[in-house]
Amino acid sequence: MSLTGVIDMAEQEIQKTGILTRTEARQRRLADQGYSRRPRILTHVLLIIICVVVAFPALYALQVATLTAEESLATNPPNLFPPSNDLLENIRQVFESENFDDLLLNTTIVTMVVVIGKTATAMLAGLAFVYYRFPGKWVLFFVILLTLLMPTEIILLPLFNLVGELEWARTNPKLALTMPFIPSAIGAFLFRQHFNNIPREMVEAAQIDGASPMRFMTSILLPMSWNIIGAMAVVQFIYMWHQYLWPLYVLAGNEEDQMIQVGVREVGGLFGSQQDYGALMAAGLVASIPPVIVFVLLQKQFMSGFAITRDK
Amino acid sequence: VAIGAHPTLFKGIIIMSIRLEASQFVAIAGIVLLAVGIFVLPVLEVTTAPPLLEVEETYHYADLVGSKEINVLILGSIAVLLTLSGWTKPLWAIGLASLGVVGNDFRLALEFTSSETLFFNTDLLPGAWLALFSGSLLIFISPFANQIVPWPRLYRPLESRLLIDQKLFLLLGSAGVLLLGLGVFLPIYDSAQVLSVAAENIGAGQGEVTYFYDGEGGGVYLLIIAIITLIALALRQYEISWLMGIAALGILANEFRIGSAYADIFEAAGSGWLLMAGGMLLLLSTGRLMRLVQSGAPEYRYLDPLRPGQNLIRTGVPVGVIVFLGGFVLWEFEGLWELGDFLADALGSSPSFVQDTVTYFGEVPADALFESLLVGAVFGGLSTALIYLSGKGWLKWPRIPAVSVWGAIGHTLMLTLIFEMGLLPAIGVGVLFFVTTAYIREPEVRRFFRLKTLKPLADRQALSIIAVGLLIGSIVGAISGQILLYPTEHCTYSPDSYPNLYRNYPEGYDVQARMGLGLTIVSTLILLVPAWTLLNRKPRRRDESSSGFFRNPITPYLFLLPTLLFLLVFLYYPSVEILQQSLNVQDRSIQQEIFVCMENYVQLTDGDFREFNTGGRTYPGNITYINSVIATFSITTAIVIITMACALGVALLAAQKIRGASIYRTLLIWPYAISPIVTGVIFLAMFREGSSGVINWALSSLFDTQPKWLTNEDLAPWVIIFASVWNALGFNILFYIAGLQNIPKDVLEAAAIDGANRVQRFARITFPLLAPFSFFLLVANVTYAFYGIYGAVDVLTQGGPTLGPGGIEGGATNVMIYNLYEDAFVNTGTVGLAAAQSVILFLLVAGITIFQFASIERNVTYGGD
Repeated sequence: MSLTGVIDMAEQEIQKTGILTRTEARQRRLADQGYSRRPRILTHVLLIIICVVVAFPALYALQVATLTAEESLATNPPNLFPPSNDLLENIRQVFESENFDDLLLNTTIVTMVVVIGKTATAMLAGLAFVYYRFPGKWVLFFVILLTLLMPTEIILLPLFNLVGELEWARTNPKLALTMPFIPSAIGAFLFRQHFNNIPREMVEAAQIDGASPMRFMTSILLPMSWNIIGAMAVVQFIYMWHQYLWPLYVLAGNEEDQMIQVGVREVGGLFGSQQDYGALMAAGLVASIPPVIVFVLLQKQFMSGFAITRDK
Repeated sequence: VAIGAHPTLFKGIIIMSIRLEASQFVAIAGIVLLAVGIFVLPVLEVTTAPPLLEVEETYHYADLVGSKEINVLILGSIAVLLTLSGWTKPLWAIGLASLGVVGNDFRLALEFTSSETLFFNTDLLPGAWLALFSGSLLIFISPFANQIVPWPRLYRPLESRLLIDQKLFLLLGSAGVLLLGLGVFLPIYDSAQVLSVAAENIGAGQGEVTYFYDGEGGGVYLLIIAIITLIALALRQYEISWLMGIAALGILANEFRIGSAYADIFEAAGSGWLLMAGGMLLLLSTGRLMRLVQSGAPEYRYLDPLRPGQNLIRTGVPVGVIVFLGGFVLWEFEGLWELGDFLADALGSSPSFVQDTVTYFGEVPADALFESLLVGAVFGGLSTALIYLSGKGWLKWPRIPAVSVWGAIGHTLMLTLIFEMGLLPAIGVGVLFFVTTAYIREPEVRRFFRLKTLKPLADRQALSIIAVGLLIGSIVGAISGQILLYPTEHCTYSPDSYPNLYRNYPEGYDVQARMGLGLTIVSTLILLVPAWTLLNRKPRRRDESSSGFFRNPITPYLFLLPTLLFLLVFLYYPSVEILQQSLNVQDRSIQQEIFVCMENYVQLTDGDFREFNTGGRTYPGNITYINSVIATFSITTAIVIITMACALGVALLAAQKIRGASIYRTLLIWPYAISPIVTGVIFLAMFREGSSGVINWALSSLFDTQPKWLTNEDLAPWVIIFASVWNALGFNILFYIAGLQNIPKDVLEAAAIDGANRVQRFARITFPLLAPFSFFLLVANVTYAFYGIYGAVDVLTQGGPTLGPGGIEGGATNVMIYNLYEDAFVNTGTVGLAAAQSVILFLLVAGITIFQFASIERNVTYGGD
């Protein structure tokens, strides 16, 4: 929501500076002189170097993941070539002794529930704010707006007590992991903004055809909102996949229902005296593959969702 | 004669039945069956059943365990509403839910009948179960009845108007609500008598006591009904109040049935029953009256019924698949009903909350109350008058130079953090700096303080605005100021009531009193801000044309309900709770929370409080927290600057139109998807000490040094910073690339023609045009550095390396969020301190968020009309 405003402002700025434009002839002359031709090779070389630097920690992690426990603790030099071949062994160990299969499934369920729940509630709220007139709209909007000031991170302490009071921590771990993250003021605003940009004629046409609000939402709004849903889904997917502190303390002692980040912490005796960096890196790799895939695949949605006002 | 006297009534019934659809008939049959199954058959069957076991706390019949039938009743009421409004399409879901509820109850009943427990009668009542199941089934299939029997709709509603003044409805309805409310709340006052009976009962070992009235918590549902009716009346939807009357009837009947079953244990609170019954009758009568009016002049337009089942296959199959898959996961979310119970409890305790509040404000020391009211009123009155004046255009605030603002903030921070001046004098210097520089630099400011600016304020209109502003502001401020003072029990205003807080440190009371003032001001804002917005609201163009809007009085609230409910339970409630917790200290010896007023805050912010002596040196008691704040700010600054500088540099390269740009972009941004934990683990492997980590291996082979990255107090923060920068870089690059692609090429080219070199073009054009993106990223990065780095700190350094002898000065990477969570979940007896830290962090981040909002305010339009 903030970024859509940001882009608006950028466009205004651009219009202000429009006076700088010159005649076409001078531009063409300039283009002929080769202004826009930059030293491409240099750019490519620089970018490749930067990409390698950015990837270096992960590449190193991959290399360590191929080592056995003893090799990973061995002193210099780290044997880069030929790489050891304990990668599969490490991954197998992670799945067998730390039941990563359960953790992956748990995390997937938790993440999906939050993504779907958040999107659905936010979309309904947006629908109510844009396509209805009702008394108290202003007050309710303010009530939702105010929650932007209360991030979940700093109220974990009372949330912890609340979840205990509801007996979710012991009996319904999935609820304890998901429900506190369902409410979304940002989501409601994103959808409100997006719906406001959809021409009013759409609703009028739908009303003439006798469509109910739910029908209007499922068959008109939903297909028009995939970009913004995608954007929200990526952000929420990554946010939930990275949950660490909350599951760590809420489900303390319950290893079956834990989430993947806590699982990584338990691998390889991280807080013990004997560390197995090979298994640790393998665990990190396994835990990182799903969010990286989602993020890389949906990066276009991610951006265009934020830039939604530009489509108008 | 009776029919003849009401020809309109008779006609109305005929018209009603003609206009019903097949689906509505089926649904009505189902609803009737449900009602019979709950109210009639159990009573009949129990009276004819074999004698019950004579055991204490026995339900008189076993089948409907607990108060689960209340769920069926609610579902039935919804079904009634839907059926009568003609919107029968969603009835299948209601039927399904009802089947589920009944099925679950049946399972419980079977369990109880098969187990050899003595507490329940072991007979099933087949008739009631059959009625409940078949009723639910009928409701479930009712939407599809229209496809089988395409019933012709003979009746077409006519445009007309109401004959009787609407005020009559309003009167009847609100009187009904009043009586209902009284009926629920009033028994508190004759609870003394009931309680005495209850005490006798408990003394006689006859179980627990509900002293409200006889039922088991049905009052909650009645309260809900009263609230819905009020909303409906405000919307002039009188049909709803009638339907609510029906629902109230059902609930009252059920409660009365249970109540009379317990009559030997509980004493009836008679007044409550009478009032509730009266309220229900009044509600019923509104609808009755309306029906009479309508049958003569059918103004009434039902919602246009949609053909149900139109796209049964197209929508049914995917929904079925989702439901099927959901079935595998759904049982893990069964406990969601606990949330309903929680809310019901909260709502049910509202009468006692009201009573407590009244009692509290009756007992609070008069001078404390007076002082706090005065503070709220003065602040509220003055600020509201000023804001109202400027809103009406009488007062034009001068432009304030940014230099003064930043300079003042910078001075204050520098003086407190580096020169260790007290916070108040430092703020004083900051304000002085602000005033003088603004006065010197800005002619508008000078002009503002001349008499000419103030002259129009003597105008009569302006005076009336001031008067209104003062009046409204002082009233709202005084009331609103009490909101946050209620949980603090006005302790900051009445130090005498808490003599044991600062035994060896009397200055503590002064610090606490100052904090109390701040708290009162913050509290006044809760109601003042909405009041300001209301006062200065621009006259709205009242666009009465309803095109582009759906018209329904209830659905918008239903759509907002999930969001509001979750926000209420998982954000508002914990936020209030944390304030409460921050005022308590856990006493380890007696495992109890003790109210200590603002002592936690004083301990965190006032270094002189409880100082201690170690190794011949005196340390302030909050040295750990102060170091934590400093670590947070320095690490945050480094993360923000390095991340944004690197991201901008990389984005400048990657935003060019070159071959494979999207591949480069993907290769640059993916670390954003790596979690802080995994990042921490990877950097731990890289920077680990000894020579097996790659960094130290490289350094020792090149320069022959092996820095102690994780245990040196100067180096450890840098490892955290590197990890965080690597993590956050992708996000920043992504947005900077988008920003750069947004910059029009012709502007840059034109600048190039004018002879600007590359550096000039960047400094004068690119960078300013990127400002909005930079600002967004600044806020995002600060938020990340405040919260997001917890995982990295936990894995890499656990807040260490420790500072000071024996670690008494905290740790070099002991950032605020880490310190907070350690105090909250790991250390014992520090819950109160952790809560106070949360509130401080909350204020900091709320400041940032408001700052962000203020700068994009124009994009936030309230209401969205």
